[in-house]
Amino acid sequence: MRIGIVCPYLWDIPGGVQAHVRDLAETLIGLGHQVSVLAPGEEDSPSLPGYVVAAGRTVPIPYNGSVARLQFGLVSATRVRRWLRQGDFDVVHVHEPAPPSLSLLTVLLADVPLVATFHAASTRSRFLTMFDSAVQAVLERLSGRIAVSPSARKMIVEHLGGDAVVIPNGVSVAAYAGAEPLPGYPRDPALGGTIGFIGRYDESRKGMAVLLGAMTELVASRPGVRLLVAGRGQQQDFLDKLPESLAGSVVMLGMVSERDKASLLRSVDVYVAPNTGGESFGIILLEALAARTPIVASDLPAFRRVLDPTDRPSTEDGSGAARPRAGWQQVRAGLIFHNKDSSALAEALERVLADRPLREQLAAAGAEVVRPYDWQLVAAQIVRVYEIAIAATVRI
Amino acid sequence: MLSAGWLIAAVCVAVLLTLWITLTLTRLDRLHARVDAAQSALDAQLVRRAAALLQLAERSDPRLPVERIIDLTSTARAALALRQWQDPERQAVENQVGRAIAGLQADRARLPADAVTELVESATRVMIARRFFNDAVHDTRTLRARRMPRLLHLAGHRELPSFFDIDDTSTFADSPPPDQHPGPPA
Repeated sequence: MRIGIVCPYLWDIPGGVQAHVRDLAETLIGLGHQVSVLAPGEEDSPSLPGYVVAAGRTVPIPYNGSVARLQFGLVSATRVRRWLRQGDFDVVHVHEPAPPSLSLLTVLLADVPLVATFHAASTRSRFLTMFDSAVQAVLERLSGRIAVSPSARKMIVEHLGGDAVVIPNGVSVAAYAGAEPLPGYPRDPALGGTIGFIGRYDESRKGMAVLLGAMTELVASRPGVRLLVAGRGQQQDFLDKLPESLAGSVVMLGMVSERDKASLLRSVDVYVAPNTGGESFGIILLEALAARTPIVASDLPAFRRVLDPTDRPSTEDGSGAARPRAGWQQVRAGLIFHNKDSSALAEALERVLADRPLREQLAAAGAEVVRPYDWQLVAAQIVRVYEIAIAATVRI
Repeated sequence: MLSAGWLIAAVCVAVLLTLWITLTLTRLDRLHARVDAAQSALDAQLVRRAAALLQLAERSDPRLPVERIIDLTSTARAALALRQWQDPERQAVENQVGRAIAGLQADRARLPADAVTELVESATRVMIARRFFNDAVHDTRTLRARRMPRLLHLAGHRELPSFFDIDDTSTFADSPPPDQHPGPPA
């Protein structure tokens, strides 16, 4: 199949959508399809892989909490047209077609079967409500819609009308399972254990404050416990504000590459996701599962859905699950602690760090849970959607 | 001077209105074509699913009791016999196919594996194709329900498309239903 994929965000800035598009494109190429990705960016950028076509310069504008790339105008339109003509695609797959973006522009210009993937679960995207009828005129050109999570699907049903097929994010399971640990890791468990955290630690909804609270409790009984932190943030600021008792226990790794992220996950005894809210999918949990690292996570529907697939809430948004009112609870592939409760988190961490058979049991269950999310299988589901979208489209 | 100003304004309004009507007519044309294409795609998947059920039933002898095989066969044949989309029985018959497939869940291990794989695949495709069809119907109905297209009768005499409502949530798969945990059928 000749497949065109449109990524609305700059290729060289790390982000969930970019990673999704890259992995999807590479998996599809591996399956023998012809794939071309159109993304904003300078044409002569040397860092672009061979399958990416640059769509030219963009104007950054803040959109929905992050920075979208405004891409309208004759130059961009010409490049999109040229890409469509040269690619002669059987299907074009746009990601996050919120206005104003390269994805939306492609939807307007393409006369081929169109599939769109919606990543955001945010219900606050103002554009969608502001230009309701105009957005409708564009989105009605899509033959098929994919949502990456039940909550993203809920956003579509409630705010755009219509429906979507849920296909989750994928994980390159083998890459995580086979990653080399960081030099010097994994440490001897007798030293007190190693805990991992990845994310923007100075953003409050990522829950670092909850984790630090738990660490201060934990360090009293386990003086050698160590926390590895990777991600974007004001490092010096963060270290200055650190409680004195944790001075030697926190190791900052800064921003890490995809490969180092896998290595970090392979280096720690337990991965913590203390997020207080706003997570739609929890891809990092899948990555930790793929790395066979036990997980302690806060009680969010998205996390619960990943860690406990047998616990099936009756509602599609996952809000029907029973919550621990306090403390923590062991589920199939991890421990879930009461949201924002540092003491509960400390107890759950102590439990995992003290119990090697439990860690092994969680790692084995995790490998089972993550299997359906392997990119090979996820890409096969997406190809199935392409085939039906092609059958459900008339070429005009 | 005043009348010239009014004339220009009137011409502008007329031009804009014409542009808008042309655009809306194009949209309606596209949408109706999309509904037709999505309908034939769904139709094809429904036929494939019924055929898969028939195939499975015929090959399950003697792994299932004779009366169940007769039951499954007649359900599948009833669906295959309905070739008209408009048939008022269609949704009820397809629902029976869906229930028959869900009812096979307990016997899954005893059934021929490749026939089961085909049945799971075709049931998943029905689910996707139905969603895409209902999306097309939804988009068409939304535009036709707006005030101006309705008043100006822009849809002409084309029939208002209706949703295809069957229960396809109970898929026949060992993974949980696709909407909660979209695992691929094993």
